Amino acid sequence: MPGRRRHLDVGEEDGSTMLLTIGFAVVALAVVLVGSAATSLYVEHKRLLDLADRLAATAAESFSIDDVTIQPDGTFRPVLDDDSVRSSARDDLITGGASALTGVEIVAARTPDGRSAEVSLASDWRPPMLTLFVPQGLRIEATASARSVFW
Amino acid sequence: MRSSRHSSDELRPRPTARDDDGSASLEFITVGLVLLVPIVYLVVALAEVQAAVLAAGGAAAQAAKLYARADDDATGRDRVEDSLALALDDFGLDRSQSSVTLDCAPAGLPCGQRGGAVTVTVDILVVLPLMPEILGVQAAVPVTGAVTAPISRFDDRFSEAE
Repeated sequence: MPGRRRHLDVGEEDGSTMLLTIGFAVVALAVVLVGSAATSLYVEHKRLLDLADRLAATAAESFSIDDVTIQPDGTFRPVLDDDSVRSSARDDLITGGASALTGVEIVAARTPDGRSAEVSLASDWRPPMLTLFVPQGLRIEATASARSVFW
Repeated sequence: MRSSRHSSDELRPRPTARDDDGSASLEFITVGLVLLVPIVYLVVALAEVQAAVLAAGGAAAQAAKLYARADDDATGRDRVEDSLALALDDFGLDRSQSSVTLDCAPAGLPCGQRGGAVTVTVDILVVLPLMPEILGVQAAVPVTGAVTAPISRFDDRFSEAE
C-alpha cells in the first residue's frame, strides 16, 4: 500500500511538471501576442491621427478669398464655415485614399470658432495575429485641428 | 535474514522514485528549452520589427510636414533626410537598410506646388536576427511608413519663378 501510493505520487509529479512548463509557455506567448497587438493598436491610431491631421490642415484652408477680413491691427483673418470644412474633408478623404486603414469614416468635421478646422475620424482596428487573447477588434477615433495663420 | 529482505523490498521504490525525479527535471529542461527558445526569438524579432514600424511611421510623418513647410525643394529634402536620421537614431537602426521616397501631387510637376500634396514613404528592411544567409539572401521583413501632408494654397516657394 505505501509502495502504491508512492508510485502514484511520482506519476502526478511527472504530469504536473509538463503541464507547468506548457502553461508557462502559453502565458509567455499570450504576453508576447498582447504586447504586439498593443503596438499595432498604437500604430494604427497614429496613422488615423496623421490622416486626420492632413484632412484638418487642408480644411483649414477651405475658405474663399472673399471670406478673409482685415482686422483693425492689420492682420488677415479667414472665416471658415462648417459646410466648407465638411466638404473639404470628405473630398480629401476620397481622393487621398485611406491607404492602409480600413473603414475610415468622418465622425465630425466642423469649425468651433470660425478660424480653426476640427476633423474627427473613426476606423476599425483588428489585431494582426491570433485574436484569441484580445477582442475581435476595436473602434479607434482621432481628432485633429488646424488653423491658417497669416502674417 | 527475513527482516533484511523485508527492508530491501521496502527500499526498492526509492531508487525508481529518484530516477523519475531526475527524468522529470530533465524533461522540464528539454521541454522548457524547446518552448522557451522560440518564444525568446519571437520577442527579439518582434521588437526589431516594431522598432522599425515606429521609426518608419514617425519619420514619414515628421518628414512630410517639414517638407510641406519648407521654403524650397532642397531645404525640404534636407529636412526629410534629417528627420529620417533622427528617427533611425532613436530606435538604433541602420541608415543603409532604409530608403525614403517623395511622391508629389499633382504628378508631373516639380514638388511643392500650391495646393498640392507631398507623400513621404519610408521603407526599412528589418534583417531578422541570427538568420543565416541562404544563397546570398537574408531573411528580412520589409516595413513601410507613408504619410501625406498637404501643401498650403499660399505656399510661395515658386513665387520668384512666376
